Amino acid sequence: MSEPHEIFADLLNVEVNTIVKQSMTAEKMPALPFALLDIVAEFAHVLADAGIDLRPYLQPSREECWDRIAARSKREDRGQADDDEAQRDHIEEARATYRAVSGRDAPEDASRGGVPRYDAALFNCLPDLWPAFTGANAASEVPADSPCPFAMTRVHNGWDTFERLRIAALLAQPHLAAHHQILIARIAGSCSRLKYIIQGLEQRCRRPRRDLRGWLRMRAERGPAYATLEALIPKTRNELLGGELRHKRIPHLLRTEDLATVRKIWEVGTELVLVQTAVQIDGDVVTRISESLLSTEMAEVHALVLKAHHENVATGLSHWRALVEVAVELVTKVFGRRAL
Amino acid sequence: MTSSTAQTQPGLRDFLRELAGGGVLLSEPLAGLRGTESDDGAQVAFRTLIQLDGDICLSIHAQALQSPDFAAAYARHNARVHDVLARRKAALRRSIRGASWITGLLGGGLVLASGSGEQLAQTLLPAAYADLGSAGVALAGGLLTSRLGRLFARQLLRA
Repeated sequence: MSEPHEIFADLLNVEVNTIVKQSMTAEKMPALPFALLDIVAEFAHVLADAGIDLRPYLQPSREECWDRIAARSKREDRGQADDDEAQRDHIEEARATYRAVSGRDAPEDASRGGVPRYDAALFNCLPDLWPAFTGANAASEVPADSPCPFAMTRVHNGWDTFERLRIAALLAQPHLAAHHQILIARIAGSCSRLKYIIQGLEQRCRRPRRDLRGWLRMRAERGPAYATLEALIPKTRNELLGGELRHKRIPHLLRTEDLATVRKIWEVGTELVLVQTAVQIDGDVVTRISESLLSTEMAEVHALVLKAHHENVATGLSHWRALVEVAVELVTKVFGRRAL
Repeated sequence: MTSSTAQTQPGLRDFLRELAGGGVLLSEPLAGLRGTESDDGAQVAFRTLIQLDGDICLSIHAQALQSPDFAAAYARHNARVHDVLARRKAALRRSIRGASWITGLLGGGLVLASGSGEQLAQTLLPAAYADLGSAGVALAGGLLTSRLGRLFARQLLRA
């Protein structure tokens, strides 16, 4: 669970989005591991529809990606770097991140020729996966005009899946038609945020937390068993549904602000946002209206959508005001009136 | 998610549940609107997600937009959103105001239950005033606990 003060941490701006969907239910967002898989499936579907072949990006295993990055790193040692990206030593950066996060040196796994096992956690500290898919490791030519069939059964919900989708989207973006550009950019942006959140989660959960260890052990022994992070991420849907996981409780893994980000990405998905209003605490108000709302096809309904959005903005502002009032009341109660 | 129309007063527990879920979700069924053709009873006309940082995401079903009942249905949905938000705000304020009372009562109750108030009163005061003294010690314990709770909250917010 998050810390209480995070509730009021993001009150500096309000964002109101209005979307029109062809089909929707009252389904709530599932637990994080499943929500991530939903997002992956939706993004992959849209990218495949845009003609991007995702197989070269999603099929290589983590070990294969690591091998490619390690090979690139060795070529750099021999002075064969072929672009600016290759100038960075990804493995050294991963080691530095590991040291910073865990406070100890990254383990070597000699049994696999220097390739870290997944649980060695060094893979989770890689800054990105670009060297695994560019240069000598470049994926096959994109895009093809026909939609590519794509099976999601082997795709997991780890950070690198979002990284692979992000790379696929960004490499294909210059070749795609104009009408795909905005959505592809949004997918790349969302994948970037999700990669950051999940990677941070996987790094954080491996840190030794001496102060909590005893309490957690005691809780695990007394209460119903909670699934560990390793049992939830990175996992495919079949892996999540099988095994012993269905008899375990899924813990709240994310901080409030990260959960809000995931929830928003899951909620909006790849739908076109018709109207968006952002109100900042300094008084700036920005409203963006999609071109499609102004098209002749939506001429009959655009007044209705704008009116609904306008009322929604009023609701959002009144909710925001209420939250600020509550925050002020809380501070007044705790610090006394003199603090204000 | 909160999509029920129950009129019970929400409490801190509901708020924490929403916090864990990333926001409040309110929806209206599509089935009641004229001009909609969906056979799927699970389809909804409006879906409003209100996040705890104030962000709102409104999704409108394309068929609901074509319905002659759209304006009335949306007005109903919007009124419900306002109602839920007002009740959430009231619940939060009650929780903040009640926190100091709860910690105070807890502290006073502990002093009474442990018998330490009575012992202290018997030590310090004549026997005739022991009951009054015991209540006074419990009151002081309550006030002290309330102050300690406030101090704890202050440190928590400063962190």
